[in-house]
Amino acid sequence: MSYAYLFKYIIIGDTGVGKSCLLLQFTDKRFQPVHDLTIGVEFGARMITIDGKQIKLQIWDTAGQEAFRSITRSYYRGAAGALLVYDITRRDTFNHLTTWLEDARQHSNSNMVIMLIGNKSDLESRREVKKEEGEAFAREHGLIFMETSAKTAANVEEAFINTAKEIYEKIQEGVFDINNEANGIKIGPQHSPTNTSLPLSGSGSSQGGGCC
Amino acid sequence: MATNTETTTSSDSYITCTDCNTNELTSSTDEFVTAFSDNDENGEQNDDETCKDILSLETSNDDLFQDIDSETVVDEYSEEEKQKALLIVECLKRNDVRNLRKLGRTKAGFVCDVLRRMVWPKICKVDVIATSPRPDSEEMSKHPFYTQVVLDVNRSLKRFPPSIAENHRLAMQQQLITLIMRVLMKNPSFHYYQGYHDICITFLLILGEEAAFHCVNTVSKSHLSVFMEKTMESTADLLDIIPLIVRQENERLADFLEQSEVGNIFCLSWIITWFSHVLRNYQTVGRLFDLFLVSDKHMSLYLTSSIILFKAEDILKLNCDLATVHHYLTRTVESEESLPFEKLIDEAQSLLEKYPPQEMVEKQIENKKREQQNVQKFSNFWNIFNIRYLLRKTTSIGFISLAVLVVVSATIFQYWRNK
Repeated sequence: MSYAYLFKYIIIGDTGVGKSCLLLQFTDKRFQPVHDLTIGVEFGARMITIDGKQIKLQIWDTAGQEAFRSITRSYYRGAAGALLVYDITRRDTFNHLTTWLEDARQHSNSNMVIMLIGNKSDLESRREVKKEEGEAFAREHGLIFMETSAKTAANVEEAFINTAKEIYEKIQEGVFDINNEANGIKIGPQHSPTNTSLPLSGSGSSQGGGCC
Repeated sequence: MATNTETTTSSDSYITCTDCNTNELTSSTDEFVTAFSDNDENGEQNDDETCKDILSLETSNDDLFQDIDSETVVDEYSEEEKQKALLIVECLKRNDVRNLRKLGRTKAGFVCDVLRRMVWPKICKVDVIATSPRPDSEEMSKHPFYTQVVLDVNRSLKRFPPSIAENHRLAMQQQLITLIMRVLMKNPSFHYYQGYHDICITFLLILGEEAAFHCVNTVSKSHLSVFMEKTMESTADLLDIIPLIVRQENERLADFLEQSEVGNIFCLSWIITWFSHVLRNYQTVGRLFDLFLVSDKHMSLYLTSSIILFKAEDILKLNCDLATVHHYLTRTVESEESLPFEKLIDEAQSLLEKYPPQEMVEKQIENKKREQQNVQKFSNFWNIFNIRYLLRKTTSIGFISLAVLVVVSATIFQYWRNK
């Protein structure tokens, strides 16, 4: 399936905050209560439409454990968007945001759009981080903010799509050099019919079989 | 399975335990071997029948293994594997660790879990009689890695055979936490990494907690220590050996992989979990552990290389980009069907002989140094445009020349005064 643009995302944040579950909910529209942990990086892909244009999101889900940071960092560079995720029921995951942010800013291109996500919003009774705190952090650091629940799917679509909209706007404004793939943006192959990638399974959204 | 499970069988000879204490394990080995040799000497049973007995243990004796692999029946083992089982038992009888190690490398490894349970502690040179006290739960929970270990173990459902009853699995997860914490507390310099628990589960499922603790403790020191450093930087260096091996054998493939920028991260979980995080087939995991236990600690790098080389033709047909190649490689191992592991193991061993680890490590270090020098040269070149750098440089040059001037003047002055 052809697309106008391909945007590369990374998902970062502490281990166990629900990064892989957010990805699974977005690409497969399902939730796995006990998701196996991610070692290294994994990825999923899905097609979305913005401004009548097909945009393919290629999302790299990274391992959260600090020990892996030196390895996963290399994936920051080629990303146009980042979802920085914390768990609203675990204060420590919120406290580590500054380190994640510094790391992301240091190793990525300066135009990368960062969306701050407070995940597990369905667990209101166990909340440790107020929504206002997330908002304040985002304001202070110039990030977009949203609370999501990978379990109920609340705001998951929005989180991924709003990030894409922001990137799209930046392209329109000429902020991104779309000819440089290192910015995490690729122009679609519709003008090069010889490019026959792996077949996409299903339509519109797919992960795994669809890929890249 | 909160308590030790001891199941005596119709033959009353073997004690099988999912949570063997050391004595049980030792007696299990002895009695197993004694039973075998009795039969042998009396000539009451021919080798085949004995082998059948040995292999049938897996289904008849052991609750756990029945749970793990209810499909396993004696007939699933080939004649060749039955013959091999006899050889293994022979070595066990003679306490011949050297030949056991050789058998771990050849086809089928140690054949089945009943044999693995006796062989692995021998390979690890573990004295299962020397029990070590378990730390109490309060002490464990204070450990800096405890919370992480608990979180990861709770997420490890996939690794437990689905047929295990929930309460059984929960008890095993508790044992897994204790097992990991014991090793970490015994070796304070070790850092827990995600994936270490996958290795520990395999040992726990096959050996039971006590023997698993001793073996994991040994293996962590002999094979896994580099993964247990504070960061994975040394591990990343090790992974760089894989493209070096691939290049020796297939330059075109190495160029393609390099161009795709796929890097090495796709196989990180293969290496640091000995493939146990990604392979769904429990039997294959056991077989690979047989190999890794008796091999050089770099063997997983060579097996990875042999997998990549085996798939060369398919890889070269892919679109040359990171996502496509990463996706293909990770799925290839996860689906596993298309991988003839015995052949790949042979290939990995010959690669290891052809390109010894030490040489590859040195080559990797050399390459890294060269790359760093190139980066340095490059940044030095661009530094001529950097005012701050130039100021610093000229300041230091100025300081050095001033110092030289002072020394020279002082020497001349001294000379003049003496005159």
